[in-house]
Amino acid sequence: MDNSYKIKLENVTKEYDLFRTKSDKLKNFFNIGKVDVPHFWSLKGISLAIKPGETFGIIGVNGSGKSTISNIISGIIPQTTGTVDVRGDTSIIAIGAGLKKNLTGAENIRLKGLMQGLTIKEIDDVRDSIIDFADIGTFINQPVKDYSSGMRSRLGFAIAVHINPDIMIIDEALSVGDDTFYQKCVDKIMEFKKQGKTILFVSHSLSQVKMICDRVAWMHFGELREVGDTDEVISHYRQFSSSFKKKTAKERKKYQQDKKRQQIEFSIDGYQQSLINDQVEVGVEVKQAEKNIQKRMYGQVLPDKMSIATRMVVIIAILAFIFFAMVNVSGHSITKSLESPSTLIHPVQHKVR
Amino acid sequence: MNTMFKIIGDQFANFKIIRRMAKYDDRATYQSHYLGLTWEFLNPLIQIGIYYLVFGVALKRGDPMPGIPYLPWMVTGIAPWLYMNKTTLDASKSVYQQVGLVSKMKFPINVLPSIKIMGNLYSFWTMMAFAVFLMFLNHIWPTISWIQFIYYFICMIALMYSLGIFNSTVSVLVRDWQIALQSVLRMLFYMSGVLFNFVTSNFPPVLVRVLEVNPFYYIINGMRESLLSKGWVWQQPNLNLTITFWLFVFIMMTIGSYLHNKFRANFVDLI
Repeated sequence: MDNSYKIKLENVTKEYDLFRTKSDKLKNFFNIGKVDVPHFWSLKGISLAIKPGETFGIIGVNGSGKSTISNIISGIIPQTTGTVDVRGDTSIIAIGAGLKKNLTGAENIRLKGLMQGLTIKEIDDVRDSIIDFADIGTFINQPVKDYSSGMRSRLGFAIAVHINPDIMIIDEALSVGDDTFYQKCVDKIMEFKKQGKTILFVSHSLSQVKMICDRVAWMHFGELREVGDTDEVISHYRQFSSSFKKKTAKERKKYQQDKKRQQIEFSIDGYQQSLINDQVEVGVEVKQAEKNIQKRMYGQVLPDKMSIATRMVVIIAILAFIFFAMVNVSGHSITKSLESPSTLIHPVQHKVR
Repeated sequence: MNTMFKIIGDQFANFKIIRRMAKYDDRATYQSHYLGLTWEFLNPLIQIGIYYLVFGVALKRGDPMPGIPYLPWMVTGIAPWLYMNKTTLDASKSVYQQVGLVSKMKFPINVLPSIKIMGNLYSFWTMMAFAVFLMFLNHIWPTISWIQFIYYFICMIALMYSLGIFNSTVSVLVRDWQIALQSVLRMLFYMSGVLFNFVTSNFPPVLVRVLEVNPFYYIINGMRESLLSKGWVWQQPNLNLTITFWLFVFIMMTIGSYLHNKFRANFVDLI
């Protein structure tokens, strides 16, 4: 196995359906008719490789797909197309922290630990150090709903770092705490960095990114605009935002609307074709290129629609189910029912057994 | 179809997590109760007592199966029924209850029904032990027929999981499903031959054969027959029912896993 990367994304896209009403949603769910809903492409084809032991930052404006990408890498949501290869356990820390509000802090620690695959003993071992890190003290036996928002995010962060993952994904989680806690988190991140763990850091705060990250990716409305050295990307990003701020409100609005429209109009087939063309240009045969790209785009994704074969099998199974149920109700033997199916609707009126 | 195999594979891959979480679930539910886990057994015992008084003593109509007294007959049927009833309801709620938590971390959502299936097994075994105890009191001894119990147990788990994955997904999408399911189960309780044997009753034979198709009846009757040594899987009508039962499980499982997979990413938005 080559060790050149820890996380690799290839041509990853993510599509969201924009249902207008609840009934559209239900129709789509029961597959009644074709509901033509607009689609929104939150990611329009991202390819990215993150090396082992790297601290990788993702920056970008609101709604550019930063959280989508971190959720896909951590395995919370599946990608629409593309391949994702993550070598190791991930642990994600997001603002909501994913705690159960009516359980106490201690119970949350236990539950989250179990869900991440720790044993009770392992959880008991790290429990005190989690409580200490989160600085919650006696509140640990209170329900989480009584916590302040800072306490909640501290607990979430503390649990996530103590689960001891290879890959840590921090999604804007540091923006809630105060300075002391922030410093504690940074220290912990630095400690992880020293241990050679891979860290993915999603943030708005350029100063935080600058301080922590080795490399940075700049996401821009579903596209990867730039990947590279931290200082370089950040200075380009700063140039962009200052020039953007100088525009009039109207121009700004128009720019955003254009970009959003592009995300709605994005065509996945067109994207696939362009990838095939790229390969053909390099000298791959057309057939082979089509095959390669098909595999890369859909090889890892479980199909959204039932394949025709599955549909057939299900229909046959339903028919067989009805047949055998009727055989039993009619009271005739299976062989007789097969020979003359008309007996099925003439059930025997007396007891057969 | 691949989706289905993948989901089944996930259950085995995450078996340890399922077991640990089932244990924790059990303890957490009864933490604030003085009698704790005892409730899990006290509750069904009270129910059995009432049913015995009403159906066994007050409405006494002779033995439900030749040579078998009412009480052991009822308990061998009511034990799997109580388990399946509770598990079907719990499993259908499982995704909805945990969605806030699992949407923020990496966790195979499709094991949530399994945790309930596993967790409720503890009380199932206790009830089963109680049933066997009653059988011994009535001088009904184990025979080779008991082997079939293993088969019916596998059937029960398969049915529970296929219903679980289907119901848990649908309940997230349609909140009314949960209530509808409760009513259906309450109805099925009387139609699955838990309290009286409709095969030997005065029901019209056609109606009896309609009721037999019910998958819950298949398991309840099967477990009874194997423990009380009254019939084999390959004898009629069990053979017909075996085919319909497994077709039913297969259909639920394919459709359920397909829906689950399709909506997994949107569970959070759907609530």
